[in-house]
Amino acid sequence: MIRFLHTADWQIEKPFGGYAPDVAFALKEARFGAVERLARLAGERRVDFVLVAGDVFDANTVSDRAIQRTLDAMALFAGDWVLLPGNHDAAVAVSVWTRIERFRHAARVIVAERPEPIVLCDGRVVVLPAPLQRRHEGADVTAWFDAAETPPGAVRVGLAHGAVSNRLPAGAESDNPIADDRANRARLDYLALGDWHGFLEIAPRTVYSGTPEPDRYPANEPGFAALVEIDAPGSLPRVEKVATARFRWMRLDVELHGDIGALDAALDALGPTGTTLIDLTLRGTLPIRERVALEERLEAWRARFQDLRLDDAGLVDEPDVDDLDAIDLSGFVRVAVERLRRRAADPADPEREAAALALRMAFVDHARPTKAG
Amino acid sequence: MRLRSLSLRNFAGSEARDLDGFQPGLNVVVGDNEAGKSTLLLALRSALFQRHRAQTEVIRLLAPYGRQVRPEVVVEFETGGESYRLRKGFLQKPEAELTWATGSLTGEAVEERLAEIFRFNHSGARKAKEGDYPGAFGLLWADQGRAFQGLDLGQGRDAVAASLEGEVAQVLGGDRGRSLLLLAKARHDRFFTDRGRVSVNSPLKAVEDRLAELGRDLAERETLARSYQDKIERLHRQRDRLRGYERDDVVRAAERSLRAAEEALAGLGALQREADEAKRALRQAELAREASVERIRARETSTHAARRAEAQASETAERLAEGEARLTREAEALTHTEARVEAARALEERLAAHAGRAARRAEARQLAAALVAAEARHAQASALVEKRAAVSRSEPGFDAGLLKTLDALERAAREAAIRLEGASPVLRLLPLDGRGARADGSPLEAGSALRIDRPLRIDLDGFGTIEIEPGGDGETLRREADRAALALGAKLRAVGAPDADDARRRARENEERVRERDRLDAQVRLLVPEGLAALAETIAADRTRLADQQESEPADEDVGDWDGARRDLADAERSAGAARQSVARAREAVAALRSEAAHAGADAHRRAEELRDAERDRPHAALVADLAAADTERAGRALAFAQRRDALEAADPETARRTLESRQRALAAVREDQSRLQAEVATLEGELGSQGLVSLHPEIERLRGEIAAAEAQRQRLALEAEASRLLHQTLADAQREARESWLGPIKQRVAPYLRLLHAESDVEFDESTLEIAALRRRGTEERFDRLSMGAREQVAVVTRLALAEVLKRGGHPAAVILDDALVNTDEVRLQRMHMVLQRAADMGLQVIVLTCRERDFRDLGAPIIRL
Repeated sequence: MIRFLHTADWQIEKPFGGYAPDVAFALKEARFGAVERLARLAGERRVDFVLVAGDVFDANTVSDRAIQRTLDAMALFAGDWVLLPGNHDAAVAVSVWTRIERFRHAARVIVAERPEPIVLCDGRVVVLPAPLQRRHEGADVTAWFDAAETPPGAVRVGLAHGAVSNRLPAGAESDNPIADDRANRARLDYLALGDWHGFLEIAPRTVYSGTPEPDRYPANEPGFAALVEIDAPGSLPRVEKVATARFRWMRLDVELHGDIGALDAALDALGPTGTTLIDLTLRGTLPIRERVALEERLEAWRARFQDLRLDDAGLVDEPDVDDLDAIDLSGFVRVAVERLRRRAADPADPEREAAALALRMAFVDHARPTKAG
Repeated sequence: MRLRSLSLRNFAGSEARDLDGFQPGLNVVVGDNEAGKSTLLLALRSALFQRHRAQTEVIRLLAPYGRQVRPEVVVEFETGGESYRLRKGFLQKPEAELTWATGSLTGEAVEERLAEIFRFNHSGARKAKEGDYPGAFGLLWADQGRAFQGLDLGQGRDAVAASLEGEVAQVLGGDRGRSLLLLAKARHDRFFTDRGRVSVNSPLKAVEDRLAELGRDLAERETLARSYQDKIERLHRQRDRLRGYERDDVVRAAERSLRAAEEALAGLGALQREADEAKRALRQAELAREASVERIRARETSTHAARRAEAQASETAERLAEGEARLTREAEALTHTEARVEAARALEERLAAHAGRAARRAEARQLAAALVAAEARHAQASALVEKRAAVSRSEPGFDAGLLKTLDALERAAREAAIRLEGASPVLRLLPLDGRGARADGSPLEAGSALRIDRPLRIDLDGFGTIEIEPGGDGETLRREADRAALALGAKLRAVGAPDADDARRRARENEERVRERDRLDAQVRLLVPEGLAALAETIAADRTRLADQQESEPADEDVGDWDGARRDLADAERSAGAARQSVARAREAVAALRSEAAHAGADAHRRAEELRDAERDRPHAALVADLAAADTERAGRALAFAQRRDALEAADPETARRTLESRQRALAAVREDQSRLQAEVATLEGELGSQGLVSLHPEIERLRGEIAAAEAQRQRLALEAEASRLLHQTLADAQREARESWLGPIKQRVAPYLRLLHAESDVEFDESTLEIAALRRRGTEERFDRLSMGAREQVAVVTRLALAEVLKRGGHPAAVILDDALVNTDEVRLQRMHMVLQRAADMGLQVIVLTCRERDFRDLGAPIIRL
C-alpha cells in the first residue's frame, strides 16, 4: 500500500491587492502557514510523498524570499515533494523552476518540469506528470499518459493541472483541457489534479484537491487536501478529505425591512469572526434612522471580522414621517427635506441616490449636538 | 401693548416721578436734559424684563448714586384685552406684584407671567449688557440718540421671527435650521468651493488623482509584463527550434547533401570536355567548307565581270561614233542661223531711224498749241490790269480818320447849341387884336416862342420898344456854340466838302474803290501765277523753238513695220543662241564618250587577264571537287558532336549544378540560422535571468486590487459629493425662499411709511441679521451705514413702526417708544415724520415720544406730558 498527500494551487505570494494592507499581509502569510500545516500533516500521517498539482507559486516572478520560505516550510516533511508547474508558474524558458536550483534548503523537491515518468518508492509508484510549459495549452498535455510504459507492479499516478472537459461548471476556465476519461484510458490508479480551487472528485479516480487555504469567496469547497491510499495497482484509491484552512471566506445575504435586527442575528450565527472574511450583501428597505444606525452597526462588525465587504446596492432608504420630523417639523428645513424625499423616491430622477444620501446626511447632522444647544 | 401710566420712586436720578394719562395713539413726554426721560425708559425695561431679585450690574445702576434705597416702579398697561398693574421693587427687599381684574401674582410667578405675556425668555445667569433686552420690544424702543444705528435688534431678533409665525407660513429654521445649514455647508465645502468648482482639497479629487496614478503604474507594469511574457514565449520557440536543429543534425545533413552534389557534378566534367572537343572539330569543318564555297563564288564573280566589261567597251565605242556625227550636224545649223540674224538686224536699224523723225514732228505740233493758249492767257490778264488802273484813282484825305474828326466836331457844336437853348429864356408875345411886334426889324408871329440868347430889341405896337438881354451864362454859351460851329466849318472847308454828309459819302466811295482793286489783283494772280512778265518771256522763247523745228525735214512716207522687224531680230538671236548651246553640248558629250570608251576598253582588258591567270592557277572544275570533299568532312564532324552532346544532356549537368548551388546556400543558411538562434537564446536568457527577480505579477495584481478599491471609494465619494452639494443647495434654496416670503410682509408695511418720507423708496434687509441693509430711492440703492445720521434715524423709526404694526396684527404686544429719536432731523423732515407718527397712531399703535424739544412736537396734536 502506498499513501500520499495530494494538494494544489498554493499560489504562494498571491498579492490580494483589493484588501487593506494588513488584511492582504495576513492572507499572504496564511499561505506559508498552509504549507507548514501540509508538511506537518504529511509527517503525522506518514505519507510516502506529497504531490502538488500545479500553481505552487502565484507567478514565475515571485520573490526569492517567497521561494525560500516555501522551501523551508516544506522541509518540515522529510519525504519527497513532487511539484508540478501549473498555469501560474508554467515551466517556461525562464521560470521559478529554473531559479529554484539556486536555493539552499533541506526539502526533497522533485520538479516535474518534463512529461517524463517519475519513479518513487523504489519503483512501487510511477508518477506521470503533465507539466504546463506555457500558461495556456490548447491541447491535452495528459495525452501521453495513455502510451506511457510502467513496470507491471507499479501504481500509476497521473499529475496534471487544468480543466477536466465537460465536468466543471460553465464559466470555469476552458484552457488546458484534460479529457474526462483520462484515468481510464491511461490505466491510472489515481489522477491528481490542480487548478479548480475546491475539493472535487470529478470523475472516477480523478480528484481536484483544491487549494489548502481559500483565496476568494468560494462557489466551491476550498481549504482541503486529499490524503490518498492505494493498496495495489488496479485497486480503488481511498481518498480522505482533510481540512487545512485557517481563514473562512463566506458570502452572506441579509434582507432588512424596517429595522436592522436581522443583521445582528445573521452575523451572530456565523460563530467565530476573527479568521472570517465576509462578503455581505444587504437588500431591502430601511427608514433613515435605521439606515444610520446600520452604519454604526456595520462599523462595529467590521472591527470584528478579518474583512467585511459590503454590497448594499439593493438596500433602499425609505424615509418615513418620523425620519422627517426628526430632522425638523416645520420651517425651511422641512421644505428642503420634503423636496429631497420626493427626489429620492422618484425613480426617474438622475440624482435619486444622491438625494437619498443627502437625507441621510441631514438626519445625521440633525442628530449631532449643535453648537447652540 | 398700551402703556397707561408709569410711577417710579428712588429710581436712578429722580426721587419720585408719576406719569399718567398715556393715550392709545400718540403721546409726547417733554422734559429738559437731565430731567429723567431716559430713566423712564430704564424703569420701564427693568419692570418688564429684569428679574426683581436680580443683582446684576444693570440692576445696581438703578439705585441713586451712593444711597442705600429701594428703587421701585409701578407700570399700568393693557394687553390682550386685559389691564394690568405691575409693581416691582429692586435691590432692598426686592418684590414684585402683578394684578389684573380677575387675579394677581407675586414674586417669581410675576416674572414668569411677564415672560409669557411678552414672549421672551430670561437669559439665565448671564450678565446683561447694554442693549441686551429680551423680547420683541428691544427693537421698538430707541435709546436716546441711537435711532440712527438701525434697528438695534439685539436678542430681540429671534423673538421677532417667533412673533411673525402667524404672519408668514414659512419661518427661519431657528438655531436648528442654521446649524443644519452650517453643517451642510461644511460638507459641501469638503468637495466644492463657494463658486461650485471642485475644491483643491476635495477628497474626491485626491482619490481621482490616485486612481489616475495607479492606472499609469498598472499600464506601465502590464507593458513590462507583456514584454516579459513575449520574451519568454520567444525564448521558448527559439529553444525549440534550436533543439530541433540539434536533434535532426541539420548542419551535418546539409554538409552531406553538398558533398553529394559536388561529386555528381565532377562526373559530368569528362563528358563535357569531349562534347566541347567535338563541337570545336565541327566548327573547323564548317569553316573549311565555307572557304571552299567562297572560292568558287569568287571565280564565278570574276568571269561575270570580265564579260560585262567587254560588252560595256563595245557599246561605248558605238555611242562615241554617234556623238561625233551629231556634232557635225549641229555646227552646220549654227552657221545658217547666224546669217539670218545679220539680215534681221539691218532691217531693224533702218526702221528705227524712221521712227525717230516722226516723233520730233509730233513734238512741234504740241508746242504750237501751248503757245496759242499762253497768248490768250496773257491778253486776258493785260485787260484786267488795265481795269485795275482805272479804279485805282482815289480822293486823298477822305478816309476813316476824317470821318471820326467830323463826328467829334459835329457833336461838340450840337451839344453847345443844346446847352445854349437850355439856358435861354423863351419869350411869347400875345398882343391884343390888331397889334403887332417886331424883333430886330422882322415881325413876330403872335404866340410863337422867341428864345432869348442874345440881346434883343422888340418893337411893340402901341407900346414902344423892349430890350432884352440874356442873363447869366447865356452869353458865354452862345460864344461856345459859335466857336464849335466855326471849327466844323473850318474842317469842312479844309477837305473841300460843302458839308459833313458829302464828306462822309466821298469817304465811303474811297473805301469801295480800294476793295475793287484788291479783287482785280486777286483775279490777275489767279490767271497768271508766274507773273505777266514771265509769261511774256515764255511765249517769246516757245516761238523761237517752234520756228527752229518747222525749218527741218518734211514728213517721209511709210517704210514698214518697225515692231515686226524687232520681233524677227529677237527670234533670230534666240535661235542662234540655242544653236550655239547645242553645239557646245555635243562637243562635251563627244569628249566624255571618248574618255568612257578608253576606260571601258582598259577595264575589259584587265579583267580578261585576271580570269585567265586564275584559271591557269586552279581551274573551276578543281574548285568544285574541293567543295564536295569539305561537305563530306563537315557531315562527319556534325554526327560526332551530336552524339557527344546527347550524351552530356542525358547526364543533366544543369540540374546537378543547381543542386550544388542550392545545397551551398542551404548550408550557409542553416549555419547562420543556428548561430543566430544561439545568440538570441543567449541574449534572452540573460535578459530574462535578470528580469525574473522583479516581482511584476504580484505588483500588477496589487495595483488591480488597489484600483478596484479606489474606484469603489471614488464612487462613494462622488455620491457623497453630489449628495453634499444637493443637500446644501436644497437647504439654501429653501431658506432663501422662506426669507423672501418672510420679509415680504415687513417690506409691505414699511412702504406706506417710507413713502411719506421719500417718494419711490424701499428698504432692503440683511437676511441673516434682519438689520436694515440699504435704502433704495428711485431705483438707486444706498448702504444704510452710508446714509446721513438724519436719514438713518428716520428710516430706523419708520421700520420700527412697520415691525410694530406687523407684531400687532399678529396679536402680539406692540408699543413704540422713541427717546429723542429724531434729534438729527431737519424741520422739513420733522413735519413729514409727524405724518408718519400720525399714521402709526391711526393704525392703532401706541407711540410715546420722549423729547427735550417741546416745540418740535407741539403741532402733533398729541397730549403732552411734562416732567
